[in-house]
Amino acid sequence: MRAALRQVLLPTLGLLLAAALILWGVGSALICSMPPWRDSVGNQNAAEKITGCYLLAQSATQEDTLLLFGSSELRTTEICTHPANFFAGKRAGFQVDLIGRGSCQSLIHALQIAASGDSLRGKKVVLITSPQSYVAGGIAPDLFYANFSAQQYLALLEDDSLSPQLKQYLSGRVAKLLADYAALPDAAPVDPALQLLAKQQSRPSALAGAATALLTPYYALSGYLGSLRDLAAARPLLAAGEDTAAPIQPDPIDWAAEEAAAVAQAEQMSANNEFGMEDGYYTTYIGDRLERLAGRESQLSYADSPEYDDLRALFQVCREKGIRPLFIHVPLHGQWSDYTGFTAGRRAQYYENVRQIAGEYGVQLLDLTGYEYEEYFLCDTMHLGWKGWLAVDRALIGYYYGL
Amino acid sequence: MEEKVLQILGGLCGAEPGELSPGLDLFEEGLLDSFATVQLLLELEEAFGVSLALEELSREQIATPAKIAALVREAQG
Amino acid sequence: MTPYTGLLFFYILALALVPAVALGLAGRSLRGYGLAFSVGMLCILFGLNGQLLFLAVFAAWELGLCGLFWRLRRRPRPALWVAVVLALLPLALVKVGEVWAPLGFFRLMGVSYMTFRAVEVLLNCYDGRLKSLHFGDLCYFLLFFPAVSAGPIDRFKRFCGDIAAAPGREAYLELLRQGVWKLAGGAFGGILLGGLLQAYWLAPLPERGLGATLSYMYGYTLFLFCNFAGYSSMAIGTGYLLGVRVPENFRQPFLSVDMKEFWSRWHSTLSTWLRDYVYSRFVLRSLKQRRFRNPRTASYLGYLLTMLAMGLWHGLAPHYLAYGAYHSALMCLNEALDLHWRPFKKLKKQGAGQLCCALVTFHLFAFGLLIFSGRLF
Repeated sequence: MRAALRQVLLPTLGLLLAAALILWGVGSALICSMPPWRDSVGNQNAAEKITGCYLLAQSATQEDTLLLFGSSELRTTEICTHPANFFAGKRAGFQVDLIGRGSCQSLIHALQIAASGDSLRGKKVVLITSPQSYVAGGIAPDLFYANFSAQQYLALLEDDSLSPQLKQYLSGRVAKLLADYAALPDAAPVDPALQLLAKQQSRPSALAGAATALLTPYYALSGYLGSLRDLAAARPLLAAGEDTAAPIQPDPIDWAAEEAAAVAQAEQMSANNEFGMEDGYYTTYIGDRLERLAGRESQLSYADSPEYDDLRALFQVCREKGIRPLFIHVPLHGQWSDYTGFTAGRRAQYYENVRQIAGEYGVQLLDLTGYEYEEYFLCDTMHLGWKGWLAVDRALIGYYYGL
Repeated sequence: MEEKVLQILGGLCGAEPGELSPGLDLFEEGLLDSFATVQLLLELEEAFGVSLALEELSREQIATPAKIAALVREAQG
Repeated sequence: MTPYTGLLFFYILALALVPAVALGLAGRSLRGYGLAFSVGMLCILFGLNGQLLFLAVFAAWELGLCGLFWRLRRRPRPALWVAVVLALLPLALVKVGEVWAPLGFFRLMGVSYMTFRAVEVLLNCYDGRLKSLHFGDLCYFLLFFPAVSAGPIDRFKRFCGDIAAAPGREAYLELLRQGVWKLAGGAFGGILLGGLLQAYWLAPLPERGLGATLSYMYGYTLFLFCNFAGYSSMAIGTGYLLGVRVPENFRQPFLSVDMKEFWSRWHSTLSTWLRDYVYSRFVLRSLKQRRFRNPRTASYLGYLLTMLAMGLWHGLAPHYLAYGAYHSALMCLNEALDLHWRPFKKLKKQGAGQLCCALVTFHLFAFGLLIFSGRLF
């Protein structure tokens, strides 16, 4: 009997041990051979920066890097005042790290910063949210899922420095959005164990509690595998990156000349319409449909949206992580919104809602909402443009140096 | 009994006399295919008056002439 | 969640198998826990797939049918036909739903395998081979979790024999040892090798072109072998851990020297099922009733019928039907060669000829899988 037990037990243990060793070996080999952080990676809008943990943690260790969390506006790198262009060569003495892509709304950033452990503690962080995020439904389930990271969610649950209330709120949002996503017709399979965990964290029950307790080793292993995938995905990005040496004595910036250059580029890039919008965008989304779009947004309202609570959660995460962020309050396109019937009154209500929340949390605000009608401030109906980015750049320098 | 079984098998597989022996694996040698198996069932029924189930004629139970003979004996009770 | 895929499945499987191993090592019977295990796993799996209700209706339908048919004392032949058609009905609905959108809502994982198990029980009842029909055993057999989604297709009497008595400590240890190796080996072949073939051979191939299609044929054949044999092996291993010696499904099929041998080595629980319940029954009745002047005609028609049924069983899409027809033709050709070409038998037995036969068989089958894959049309 004992001999036979040894025949079974030893090979089984051997197999498990071998599997564990291989996993551990792959992890160690990956970590040991990771290339260091490169400045040029900061300029890239890579998805790996959003859905992982490693690149953010690396960027946070840099002395001269300013982290900027945003969404679709970060895409407009053809604009000369876009931070990736404006701060090229660390002309102001620091590198920006752009984190975000379309539909990376407050909740995505809240989850990511909450999952960052201690790496962002006391760091300077800039936040931008897009006006169109504040639609009645908040973030759409499919767009949420595209930017959601199980690795991050598992990591933030492990973080004891975050308050239970905050974890509960984030879990509730994750649970709801995962369930909504899974119910979509063409949804990719969602990890049911993760859904269960999020549900249990937001509304505990005895049964789910027992199940998640049984699944604890699974969560640990799947978190570890997630971190391996994160490392593997970050590797090629870092390997292809380059460093920039900061100038010893940064040149003072001639803001008038910068603005003239921005306006010159804007005039050249927005020649086919009267709204000061970039030609390609205008042709694709408006162009022939201009007349039909008149009054189209007369029912649109940003008065009530789950996004406001997500924004509160984002500010709360920053507070609990000891981050004093700069929040950039982006205006809508005044002339265009008037045309589509999204009236000044309703716009003002949205601006005020956000302003109030920032006030509640004592967040430093760069309020640009007064520039609704400023030509070339936006490059389309809602994204920061030539002059808008320039205003942001100026504020970034002030914020970075604590002026 | 084995004698008779060998005789039936000889007829079914078209085997040369002496090629079959009680311990020979009929399937390894490619002597018994699915059709011959069904025929075997019919012939056994005729010769010994036993009724065997089709599934019992699957490979393991009728792999050798000796096994077939044993099966028939068992069915005869 | 898909069976034998993903970390979560294996974690839950491992957890749920712990009591089974404990019971087995204690020398206790595994029947009760095995049934509970199967039902529990099915509830998780089908609950997550949103097919739990369909599964419950399906199980009630098939179990009710078997129970009812068992109670019919004198089972006239037409009753058997009615029962078999009714038992096949859910399978037919799913298969029609796959090609006809209005019925597409009715989907049930593993329905092909579970239905065949039920039909086998009906045929056993009809043949009078069962001395008793225990409802719990029938449930367990129909819903036996390890083989629910992709076989192997076990046999009722054999299955009942395995679960009737506790395997005993020593025997269970041996089952455990083999089961663990089968699980590990299956995971290696099905998940790792299959995954690598898929990712590095099949996925990068361009959609069109003769070279690509040819390469796809080889790659897909190897992939399907690794994948299917691997998943079968995992199912068999899991069955062993529950004290059930689930029959093997693959026995080095690429060493076969002709198509008849091939089908006894590839997905053999399906082909022997079809051989026993379609081919042999058809041939036996034909011979008894002297339907054909030449008895061999029954054999040819039997192969035709069996292979068409095999194609249909996979689905109603044209490429599955073509796959069935293709193998019908090959089996008839094989039969004709066996009968009328004397050197064939010798050729299959020796050195170069044997190698040649094995290569031809492999290519014939690989081409069949190319049809099966639906890449050709």
